[in-house]
Amino acid sequence: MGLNNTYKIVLGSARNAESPDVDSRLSLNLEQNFLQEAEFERIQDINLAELFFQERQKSDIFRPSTKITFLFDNSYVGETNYKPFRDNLYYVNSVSSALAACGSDQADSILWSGYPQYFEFDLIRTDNNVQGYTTPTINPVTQPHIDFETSKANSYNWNFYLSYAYENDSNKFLQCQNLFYPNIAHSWLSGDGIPFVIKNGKYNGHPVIFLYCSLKHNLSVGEYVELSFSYNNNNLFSVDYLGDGSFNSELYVVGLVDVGYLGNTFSDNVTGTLKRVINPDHPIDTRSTYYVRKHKILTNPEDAVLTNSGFELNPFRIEKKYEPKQLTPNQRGRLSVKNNGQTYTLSFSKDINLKDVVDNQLRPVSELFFTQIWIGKFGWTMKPISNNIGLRQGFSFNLQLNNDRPNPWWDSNPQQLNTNSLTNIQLQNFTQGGRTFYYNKPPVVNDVLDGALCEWNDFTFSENELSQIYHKFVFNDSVFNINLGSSANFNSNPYGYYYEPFNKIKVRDFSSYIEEGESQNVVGIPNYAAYSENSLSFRWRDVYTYGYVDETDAGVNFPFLNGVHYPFEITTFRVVPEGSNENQFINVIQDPTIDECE
Amino acid sequence: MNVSKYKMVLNPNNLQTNNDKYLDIPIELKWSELGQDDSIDEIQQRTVEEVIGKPTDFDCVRFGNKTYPFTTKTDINYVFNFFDSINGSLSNPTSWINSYEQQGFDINETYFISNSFAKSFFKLDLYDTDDSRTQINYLTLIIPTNLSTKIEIQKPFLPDLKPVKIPKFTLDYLGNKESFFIYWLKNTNYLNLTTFYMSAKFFNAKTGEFIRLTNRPFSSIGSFKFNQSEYFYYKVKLNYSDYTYEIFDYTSQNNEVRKGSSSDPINWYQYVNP
Repeated sequence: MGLNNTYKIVLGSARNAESPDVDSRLSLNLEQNFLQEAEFERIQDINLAELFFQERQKSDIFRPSTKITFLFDNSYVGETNYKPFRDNLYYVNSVSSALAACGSDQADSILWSGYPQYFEFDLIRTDNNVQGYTTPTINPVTQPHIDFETSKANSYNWNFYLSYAYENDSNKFLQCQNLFYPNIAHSWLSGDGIPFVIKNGKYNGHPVIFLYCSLKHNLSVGEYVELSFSYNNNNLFSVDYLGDGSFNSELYVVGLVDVGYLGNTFSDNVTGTLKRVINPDHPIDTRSTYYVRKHKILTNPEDAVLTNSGFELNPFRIEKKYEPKQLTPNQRGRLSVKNNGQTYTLSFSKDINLKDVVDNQLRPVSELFFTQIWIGKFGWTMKPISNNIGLRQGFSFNLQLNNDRPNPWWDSNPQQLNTNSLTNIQLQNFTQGGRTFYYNKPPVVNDVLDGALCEWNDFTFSENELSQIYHKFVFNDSVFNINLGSSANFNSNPYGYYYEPFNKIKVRDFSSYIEEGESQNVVGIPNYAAYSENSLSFRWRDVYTYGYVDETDAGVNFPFLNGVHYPFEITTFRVVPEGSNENQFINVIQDPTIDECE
Repeated sequence: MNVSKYKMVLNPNNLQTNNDKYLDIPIELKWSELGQDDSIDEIQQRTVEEVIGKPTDFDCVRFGNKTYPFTTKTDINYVFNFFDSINGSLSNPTSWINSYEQQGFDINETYFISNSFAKSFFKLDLYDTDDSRTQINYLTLIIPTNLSTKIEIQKPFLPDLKPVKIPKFTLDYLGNKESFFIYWLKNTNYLNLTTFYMSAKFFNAKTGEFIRLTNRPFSSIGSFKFNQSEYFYYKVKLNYSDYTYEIFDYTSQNNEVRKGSSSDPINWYQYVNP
């Protein structure tokens, strides 16, 4: 479109003799009116499946739920003369205690020993009507140990949350004894990699340098390790063997061919750390990073809805017995329970909106974690160890017993205390009967907790969990002493229970293949893609659409209704007595894979 | 928008050569409707949504009884009283008795849980209003007779006291949980209804009759012509901030008294139809 009118600007004197010559300006008003003509008509067939698919992909709201199989073995016998605890034990010496009390002027001072009942560890307490313990006594009227609120029955012992991994910590100080050679200790930062000790040996007659790691190395033959020390300015070495022939050792032991290295670099008992490198020509691109994952809490304790999962029980037998009134300190007959097996269902009243929420690798969040934290409101466990913290944390390599005693990692002796074994969960307390009882202060939304020790590799674009994190709690020996007849040393490092606080549930999944592309040629490269100097392109894994599961079982397909995703997972929650489940390497020779002479 | 201002001046050096001056302004507009397809897609999507509707959240969440003030208790107590039609009098409030005997269930039937007793139940209906002409029943809570409280009484010809059930119910987070929780919409976008009016009926499986119940004995009402909204209902309020509910006795919208604790239970009385 052009301008049709021609404007002519003339001098004032040219138009009228008396007119002054002045500057002229031209103002142009540009105004358009136009009407859109109907170009065509649209017809759309409404396809229910397609519409469902679109709505499903559009939604970022999740309502996760889980069925929890709670596995707990009540294992520690202790003694107490604190009345509310003493009167509610599962007794193991009721006859001798009853006889002692019978002949004593001070029956109340007699120690009764037994197991704390199952209620003390159960996910939902049901002992809401025990006089003197959870309700006041009637004659005479006395205050109970805890005035039981039935609405809090599912939060006295444990609190339940949802969390996600949102950050990495490469500077976490870690310690352990070598898994294979407990006399050798390792101290390292989480970002340093995997600690190992060198032992020289032979494989098929060839000299081999074995690196004995304390956690799973996630290496394959043909890959490389970058060691924390060098030989002739080289610290990259090819992985030639996995395992030393003993059962399961291929997960922990790396073999390097000894080509005749000189000096003491690879001598026995040399310790160091290693990192996985996939391509030695591009060590920066293909080197793994190591870190402790940090979790952010998404819900508050009151958002959790925990109910019995019908009548479902775990397969282990229920242990209960009748305590005759003659053999109880308060002369009341009752049923006492040592172990039970109820299964539970956990859901949340709060919806989880994951729009624009990214994980610790800045990808869309693909995993949520059912998170359980020991509270111990009744005060059997917990006492301040340092900075008003009592709940401990460690990794799989900290669970090994040391001379049949708990690992030194857990020692609470002030001279030997390792503050890295403390969680960041503060204690609270209350006083009853002249004694102070401690319990953990429940975390709330946006609190941060340490998680698993992980490896990330930009080349494979995947995260690998090397070790779960574990929480450990022990009994408060001033109210319930389990170190019967033991020396004082044991009191600073007693046995306890440990558990995994995080149970994963997938809410999205990444492709099993890796996409690769250059920014100028490919549209839609996600902002979480990693640039590879090796291939001079971006690498990433696609987020699969909901409902699609590939042949490698990657993908998620859970119900979608009400405009909301309903992921569901069955979780097994184990509370393990220390020492019963340590990593052990039985000296089993694997079946030969080549011939009988191997 | 920046506007160019053109200024035309005379040639100051040679006025004789000053001629008319022309300004050619080439204004050319080329445009296309950027995003036209996107807009049409959006209209199409909106139209489809209008035709077949958007996903609506019908998921429910559970509401438990709110803790009573100055206590730690959350139990809810219902006490049902039946009219003693043999010895009772409509003007005497003690004619309404907390016992199943008035409904024809003798002690043996409640003690041994006969079929007719086991199949009887209380039905609590929750309506959106207390106007029986317009109200809609949104929720129903069923309390089976097997949850009844037991009291020890002396049975004829037996030496010991025996536990016999009476129509009184204590429901809580633990123990008797059936009908303690109210399950209602999690999202109020579809139906924003947080106040209900609860009426009660008793189904007597022995006679096959439904017995209606009022919140006061007839002796307090005094007349067969009474305001139904005042005597047939308790008010139930849901609280979405902590997912709890409270039940009120109300004589007017502004006069509400919380009920349900063990010391001040929710009392229901058989409505005696003239």
